[in-house]
Amino acid sequence: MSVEGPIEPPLRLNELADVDSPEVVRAALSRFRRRTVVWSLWIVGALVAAFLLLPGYTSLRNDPHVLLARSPGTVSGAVIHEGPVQATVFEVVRVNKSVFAIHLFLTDSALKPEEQLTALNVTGMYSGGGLVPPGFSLSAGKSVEVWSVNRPGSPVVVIPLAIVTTVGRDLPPLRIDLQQLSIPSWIWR
Amino acid sequence: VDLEQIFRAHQKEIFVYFLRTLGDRDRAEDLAQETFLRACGSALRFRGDSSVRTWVFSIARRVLVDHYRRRAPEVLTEPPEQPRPTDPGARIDVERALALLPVAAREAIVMVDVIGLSPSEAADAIGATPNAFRVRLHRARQQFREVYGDER
Repeated sequence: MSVEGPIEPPLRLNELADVDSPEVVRAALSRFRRRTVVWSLWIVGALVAAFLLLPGYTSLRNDPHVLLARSPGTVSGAVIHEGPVQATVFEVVRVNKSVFAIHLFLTDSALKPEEQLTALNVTGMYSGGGLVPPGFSLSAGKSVEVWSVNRPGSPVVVIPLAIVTTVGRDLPPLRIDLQQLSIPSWIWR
Repeated sequence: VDLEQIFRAHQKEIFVYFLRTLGDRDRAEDLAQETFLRACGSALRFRGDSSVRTWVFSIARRVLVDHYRRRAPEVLTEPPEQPRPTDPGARIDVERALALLPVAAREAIVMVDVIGLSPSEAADAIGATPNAFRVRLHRARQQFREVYGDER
């Protein structure tokens, strides 16, 4: 059907539009603002929750590499020889109020093939992160990266060493005097 | 741009649209508020392809459709709104005549003959082609005249 021909006259019902209109715009705007605030809070909350719950983020926080790398400290580079062991003190860091740590590279300099060096009270690291249980063994011709985790108070850190072989042979402990190495006392004290 | 000022310019006609289409003042107020609430949310997406008036009416139209969807069983069974006895006589007849029309016809008449939208604006608002809307309006006016009489 098409509507052609003269324009159809309107019904002129405009008197029906003559009513008192309630105030709806202000109420709508208020509701919109409230809704926006609530939504914003939800979005912010969701983002924060997602950020905190991200597995990668939490594992990052627990990663000892990251924890130690973020701790303030100083790089030393000092080399200490003790029997067949060469210890390079790479850095010393203050992890928190009750812990400081020494980052060491232990290298054997004179182990016999049948001998194995054992150090106690140090913590090695897997290549993927995570600490190995305290204590480790170093075979001849190899080196290992370890952390010695200590309570603050003394500048001297003692790491017991032993060589395990078919014939046991005791060694004097490895002594690292941080004061002597000019490590700032605020780290180890 | 002051949204409140823009919306306020259309507040009354949006309220009248719902009032005269539904015949219920409280519901009309709720839906008018809902219309402007939705308009706030979509204001940033308004590209100015149509006038603000047409845009606001198109939102009101969707609010009305949603309202009917939600209340379909009740709307289909509820009797047409009866005029209030305190209204002036002539106006009661007009309102009763409008209330007796199908919703689509009532809406077309309210938009054009009560509120004063042009048929093109009304067509835009309800998403119909101008020709289709003119046909609907023509039929609606015929139905109204049949119900109300031919005095107008």
